[in-house]
Amino acid sequence: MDEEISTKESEVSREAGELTVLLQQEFPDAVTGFHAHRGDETVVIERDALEPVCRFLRDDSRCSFEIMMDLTAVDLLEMNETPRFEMVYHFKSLTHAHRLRIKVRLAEDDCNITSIHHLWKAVDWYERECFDMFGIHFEGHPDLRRILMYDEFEGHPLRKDYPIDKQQPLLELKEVEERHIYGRHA
Amino acid sequence: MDTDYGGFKTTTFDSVVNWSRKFSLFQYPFVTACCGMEYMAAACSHYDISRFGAEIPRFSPRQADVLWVVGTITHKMSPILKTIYDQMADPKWVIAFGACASSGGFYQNYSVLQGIDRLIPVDLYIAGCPPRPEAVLDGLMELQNSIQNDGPKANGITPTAIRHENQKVDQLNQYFEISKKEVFENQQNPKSNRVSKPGFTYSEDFINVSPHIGYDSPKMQKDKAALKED
Repeated sequence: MDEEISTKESEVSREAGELTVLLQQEFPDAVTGFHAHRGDETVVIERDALEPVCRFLRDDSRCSFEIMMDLTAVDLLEMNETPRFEMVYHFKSLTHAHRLRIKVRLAEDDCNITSIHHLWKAVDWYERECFDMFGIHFEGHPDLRRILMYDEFEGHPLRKDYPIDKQQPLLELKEVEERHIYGRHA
Repeated sequence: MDTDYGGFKTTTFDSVVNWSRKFSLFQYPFVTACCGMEYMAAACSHYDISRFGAEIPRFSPRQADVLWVVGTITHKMSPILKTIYDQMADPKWVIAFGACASSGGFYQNYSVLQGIDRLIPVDLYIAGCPPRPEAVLDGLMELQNSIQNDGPKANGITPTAIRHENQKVDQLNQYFEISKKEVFENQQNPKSNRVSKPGFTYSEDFINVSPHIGYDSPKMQKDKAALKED
């Protein structure tokens, strides 16, 4: 078991890759951490630098990330980490055929982050889903409302402090007193 | 019951009507999940559900006799299911197809209704995740049996028609209650066209599902409590 873990640890590279070095040069104050796994680089940046970094990643010819692949959040409540939330952005470039993962940490009492809807239109529903499930507010999003749950739903179900068996039915439900058996079993 | 009088046959009017009903079931397939694949398999030529007179799916609830609830029903979907049920004309029957429709299945979370019988009356449950087409056909034959033999209090079971009637009375009562209350537009989201009832706050009304697997009826809960006391 120890061997397995050590193998996995060894796959995580702490050396800065090309894109990481580029971002460190362009935004020396913004980059707070990085690592790579089998050639896929991850860069952790400050929250305020998200918009300029994303604009740079899209427009610069060395990056040219045309595709905003995915956006989600991670709730680190049960890992006792502060800040509590971690935003994860995945980008892909068709020109250079490389990928990049950007992470941003968000505090619990200040779950606001800049929307990047004006850079990639595809991010629209991802941000709505993230708002619905985690309650993270994207400033500047044109239509930030629930996308999966109904409007009457209270709370954000993928937060770790949402009760695991709490349900919020839309209609009045009745107790089932008897279930009927027919035919040869009766 | 039937008596032979030399070429003639006498029977009750009910049994003739029930016989014609059980072999001309028009279905409404309310398909929401993977169980739909098994429903399609049962309906297509390999298993051929038309052998049992349930050949034609009608995609209008007004023309359907049997509501097949095939798959997981979420709380968001439940008002739609209720509307479909209400739109069907009497006599009508409801089949809960598979584990999710019967009891919520393995989903016990924030979004899934724990069995459609908490919302509408159910006549028949088909077990399986998903059920094999053989089980579906078996269930259909059971339903046909129940339609044929559905007399007053057969085998001590409340007849189907009476339970659907009770549902109708409940709904009428609810309707009059709602009309007394104010109905207002959804304030959380002005774009939504759904109407909410005032005072319907979920923080108090939400349902806590007990953490064990499955659903206990009040009678079972009482029995369990009695066992614990002993």
